[in-house]
Amino acid sequence: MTWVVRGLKALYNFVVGDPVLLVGVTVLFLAVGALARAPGLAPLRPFLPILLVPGILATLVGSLIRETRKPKD
Amino acid sequence: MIWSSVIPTFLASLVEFVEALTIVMVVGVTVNWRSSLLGAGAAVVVLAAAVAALGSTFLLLPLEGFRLVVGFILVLFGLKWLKKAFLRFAGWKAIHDEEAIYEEEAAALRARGEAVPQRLDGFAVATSFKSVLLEGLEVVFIVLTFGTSTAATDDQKLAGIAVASLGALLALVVVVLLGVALRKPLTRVPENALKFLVGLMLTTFGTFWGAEGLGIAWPWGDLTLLVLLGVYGAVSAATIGWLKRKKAVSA
Repeated sequence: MTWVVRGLKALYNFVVGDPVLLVGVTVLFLAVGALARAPGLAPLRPFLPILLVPGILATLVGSLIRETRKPKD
Repeated sequence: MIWSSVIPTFLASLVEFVEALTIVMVVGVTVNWRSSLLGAGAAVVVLAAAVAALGSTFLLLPLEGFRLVVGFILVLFGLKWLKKAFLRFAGWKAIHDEEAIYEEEAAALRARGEAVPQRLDGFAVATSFKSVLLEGLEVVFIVLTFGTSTAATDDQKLAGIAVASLGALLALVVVVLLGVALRKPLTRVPENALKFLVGLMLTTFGTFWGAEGLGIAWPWGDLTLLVLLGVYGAVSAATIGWLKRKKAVSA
């Protein structure tokens, strides 16, 4: 493992350490960012928080479901 | 004339300082004060150096991009902490990692009435640093904006910035005094409840700043933070209940 991969892994574990949370929040921010910048979707902008907040909560619930389905040690 | 600049700067800065204080305090109480204050102090040094180097060109910095990055990372930090707190509240087995071992040792030391060693914690330093840096940047923007808004000449601008700085300084003194007063009562809150609170605060502030960075305007300005906190709190309570029922079924 190179020092770059080790560094990235350490950073990942330090910041989040959970693939569901990382992918969920990243996809959500990218989607909301794209919707917020699309000129044709300007009337939708006031409703974007309604997408963002439940999206964050759904990501957390997804991670919890994964955690509770893990086999016991 | 002076008060028309000092009062709005004081009020606007007070909101920003309270937001920074919230993060610094919850991190200080739950992790340790050494790490939290080191992060906050480092942010103040970086900010002071940036202000000294850039002067009024500071207003050209891309604050939205900075909000987006800090917000995104805080949401990740917050969800990580919320997840851990939920699993502990609901009785799911905690992961026995280095952090858990340290926490167990710290709890045992506290139970014996001994002092917990104040080791430096990367999460605590980084979280305090980012929060104080972001809020500090916003205060600098406020001071520069209010201080230079009505000035026509360079001398007037300098005088305006000095007067506006007075408002920000007063706000800082009020918030530091508030922090000192709240420090003791916070230590009486149970540990897992405090960690839950940290997760809730980080997710709330992260959502707020991240969305602002994405170009979303919140309908009630900074008051939206309270709405977000309420929503996340209510959903958290329901989720903990669901996890407890799931645990009871699987047992």
